Amino acid sequence: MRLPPFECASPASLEEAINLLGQAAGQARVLAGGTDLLPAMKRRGIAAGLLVNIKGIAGLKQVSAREDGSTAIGAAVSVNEVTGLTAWPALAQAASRVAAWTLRHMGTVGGNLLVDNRCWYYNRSGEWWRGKEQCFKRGGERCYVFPSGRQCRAAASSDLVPALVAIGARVEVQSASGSRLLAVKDLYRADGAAPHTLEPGEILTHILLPPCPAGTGSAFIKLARRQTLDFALVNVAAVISLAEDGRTCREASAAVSGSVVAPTPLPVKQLEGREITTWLLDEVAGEAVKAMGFVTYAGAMDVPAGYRRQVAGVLLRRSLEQAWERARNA
Amino acid sequence: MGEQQAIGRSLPRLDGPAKARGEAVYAGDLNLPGMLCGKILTSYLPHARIRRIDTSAAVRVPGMKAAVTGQDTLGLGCGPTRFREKSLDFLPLARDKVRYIGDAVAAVAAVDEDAASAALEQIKVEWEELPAVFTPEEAMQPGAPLVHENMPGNISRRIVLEGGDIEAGFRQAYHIREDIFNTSSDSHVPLEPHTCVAKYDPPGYFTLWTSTQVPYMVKSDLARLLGVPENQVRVILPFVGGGFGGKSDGVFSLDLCAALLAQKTGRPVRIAYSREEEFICTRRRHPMQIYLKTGVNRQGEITARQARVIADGGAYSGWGHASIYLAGLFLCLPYRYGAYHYEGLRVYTNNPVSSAMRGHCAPQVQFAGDVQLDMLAEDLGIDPVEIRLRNALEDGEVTAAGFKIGTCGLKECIRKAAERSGWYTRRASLPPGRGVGIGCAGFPSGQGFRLRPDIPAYTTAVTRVNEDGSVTLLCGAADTGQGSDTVMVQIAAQELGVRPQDIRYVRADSDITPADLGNYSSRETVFAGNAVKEAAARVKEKLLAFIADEWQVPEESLEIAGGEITCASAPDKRISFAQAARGWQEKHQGKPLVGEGTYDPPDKKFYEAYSFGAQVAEVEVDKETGQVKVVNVVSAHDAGRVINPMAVEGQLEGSVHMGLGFALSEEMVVRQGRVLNPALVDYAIPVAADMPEVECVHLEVEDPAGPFGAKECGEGTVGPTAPAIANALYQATGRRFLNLPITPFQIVKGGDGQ
Repeated sequence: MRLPPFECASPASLEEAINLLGQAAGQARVLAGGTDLLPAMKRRGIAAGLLVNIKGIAGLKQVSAREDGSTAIGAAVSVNEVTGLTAWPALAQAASRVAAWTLRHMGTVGGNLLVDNRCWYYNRSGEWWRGKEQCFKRGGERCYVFPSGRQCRAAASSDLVPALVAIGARVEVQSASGSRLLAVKDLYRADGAAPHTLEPGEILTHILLPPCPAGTGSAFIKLARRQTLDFALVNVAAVISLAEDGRTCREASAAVSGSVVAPTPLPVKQLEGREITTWLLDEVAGEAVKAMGFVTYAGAMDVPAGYRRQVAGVLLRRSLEQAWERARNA
Repeated sequence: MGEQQAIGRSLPRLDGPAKARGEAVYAGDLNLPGMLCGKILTSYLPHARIRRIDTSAAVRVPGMKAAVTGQDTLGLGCGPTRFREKSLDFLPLARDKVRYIGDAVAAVAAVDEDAASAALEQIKVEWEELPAVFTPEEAMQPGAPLVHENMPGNISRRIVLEGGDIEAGFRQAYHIREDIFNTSSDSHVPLEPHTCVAKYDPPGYFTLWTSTQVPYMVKSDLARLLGVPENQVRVILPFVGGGFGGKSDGVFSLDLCAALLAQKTGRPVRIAYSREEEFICTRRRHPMQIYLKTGVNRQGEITARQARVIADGGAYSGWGHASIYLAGLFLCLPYRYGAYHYEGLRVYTNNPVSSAMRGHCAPQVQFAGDVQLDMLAEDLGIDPVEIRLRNALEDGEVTAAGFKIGTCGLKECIRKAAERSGWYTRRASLPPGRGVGIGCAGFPSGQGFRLRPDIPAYTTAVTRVNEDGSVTLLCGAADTGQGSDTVMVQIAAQELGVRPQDIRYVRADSDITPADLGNYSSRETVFAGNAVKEAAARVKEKLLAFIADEWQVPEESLEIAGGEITCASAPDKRISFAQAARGWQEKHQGKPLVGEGTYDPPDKKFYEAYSFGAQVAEVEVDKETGQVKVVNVVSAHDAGRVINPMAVEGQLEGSVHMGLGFALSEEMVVRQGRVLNPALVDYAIPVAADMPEVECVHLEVEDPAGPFGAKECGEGTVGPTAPAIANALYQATGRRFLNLPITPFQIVKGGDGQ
């Protein structure tokens, strides 16, 4: 498989990059690590006349502390670099489970947040699709995985996102008309064909991590078929903050990706104000996974949806337990 | 063993440095002047008649040089098992109809890949879609659409094997079990997808560099398909990045298409399969449904075993006519049966083509056989190790299918594997979620029956001593990554008494090296090794006769070792191998000092030597998620005399990797004839991090059939891994798993029985 012809620009500044994107009127894509975008272009899943390479923009390759106490991770920081950020163990854990070392070296944080949704049909090449009606995600009017479905159910596959959602991270987005901040979960919509809410001309520039409050623990668990390389069947992250008594839950959050069309926060607020026990975590986890909503298996069609939901409950309970333990030791 | 020994040493691979540095030339690295890029248009329908193919728009694409379709061929079918006319059903370029999604219908050659792709898109095919069949059950229904019109009932081959009185065997049984097992559709996944370069020289000479296990079969088949005498086709074996049986079918579509396109354009043409094509358009392991009924006496000895195997053959025969026979033969390894009855049905479907894959049907049937033996042991209250010892074949036995076993170290393998894994010490006290299981297998070394009457030799070799005393070894054996080149050099060095580094190995080139049937059926070490040993011995004889004459000593008193000829009866006399060779040549008017070797197996029905192995796997199961971690595998293997321990360990570890995927994760998911996961990211072949610790135990039982006592290695060892894991999972979960792969979902669901 070969890449289709395209132009490539490597601006040295963010302003220049934004200009280029603005002028291209939706025909351009941001290129960072390229580990997801370029294969998709080879498969003719994504078409772009212009790629704007942001790896030459110094400001996007740094991790820095901001005045409000948050940590700003540039979008072009490599995933491997994030494995070394220790403030939020869930995030470091998640980063260490992305693909494999070489891909983490190439791949970036911004790229991982905007990684395309996956589906065994959509993932195939143009040759494989020859003679077949296109699916929603390839611009057609049907879904092969869920034939009665009215929209694309490709799976949200970022490993970092559940951790960032649970942490309460935000992203900074810039365009010609200025910059805006949004919660990580608001980057996504439940449509596998157009899973991201970024507008044409916008660049995701930074991920902002809040400071980790005292008495807080976080954890991430990925379930995949193989120890490395695979996209997740289910990813779950959880954060627990304890009150000063060390027993009562002050704040709790969790999120899931993998078998859902958009990364989804999981409701674990029932923990707040209560004394945590393993029994309670089990109960809350069991209830919370119902909020996953529609469970998709488009990304690995040999693993049924029922199993994924069941396992998501297990992973949530375990990640809450691990976060709780870390909170007690924090 | 002394420094002068060339065998029994972990000699680093001859091709190692070049491969590590990226200098080894594979077919895809060849760049010939004016070379074009070829690409193949494949069918997207599982079953259809081709009404018309219109290439007129394609030829107008800039950079496009030529297109070929089935109309440019002689319309002949081919296949690796030339001994059965009916099996020659594969048309590398379809003519009248296509039988699976992936059948080649046209090919183009263009100046680059982009132009070739653009041209392919312009080829218009008018189809008449036909009803298709996707499972053996559907295919065998009365009135089902026929994949091949001349094959009624879609039965590709039915075979029955009998040994002893099966009814009496079951009457003698104290206990009988019947179970049904299913195995999956596995892919070979060589690192290097099939790739070839074809060159045409007028008036009619073809040269093909192709990534194959069977260069001489390719030569013979390609000549026949092109309608030219065999001496007009030259096949050269480049470095090959893995085969595992998937490159042993002889001519694939790319070989014929590249040759035709090279002829049409007068320019060299390269065709390289993409990973997607590699999954879809080549071959796969036969998925099987295995009904197995076994009777045992009170001691757990098998009095009768009856099997009915239904294999999804896919659209063509491939090796299938042998495969369905071999499944029946291999089920009789490595145990003794009082009586045996086997019925095998290979069924055509409109699915991807099934053929040989490492173990060639042994892993499927031995999985069923060994898991059921575990169940029988439990029914009778016998330890799984003990029941295997009671049924294990021994030296000199004849199996229920008729194999005459020479040496057999199975019992010792079982004992060693049990001992090393702590079977008797740790097994009973493992924590919940942990389990240990055992599996056993046996496998032949190279087949004796004539699969290819068109190729007169089984395997041959020539040694030539050069003017400087160095040795050139010409051998048609196909090293596809397993390391046989190194082993051949070690064997020749040992026989000649020279250092391995003094031997230059010339890889298969049909114009230069003598004929060899290829690398399949675990042939190389025993068959090619014997031929190489003989070729070296012939040179040695000539040299020793010459020196004996010069020194006036008896020939028997002479010895070559460490590159030097010495005499037991005259200790003061010594001459270097090089000087002796020079002397011989001077005496013979510069005549080349050559030795020829061949191997003609005495047993023309079956095989010569059989390897045996036992593996014990320890697993850890996460019962809530069903995730399995295989903690370690002890692999005890009787591969005869080990020529190169490091290479054998590579084979053992590699076979555990393949067995692990077969057991737990690998499956090409095929729906309505379409492969849904033809990519390394979606087909879950285990990664390095999934690999358990593997402890290798060599049992060196010298077999008289092999060179220096060697037997096959690395193919049979795929067999024990899956049953060992499944049996370990039983201890860990209390559930039996009869269907492969055993995915986390299957484990959470609770398996297939108590």
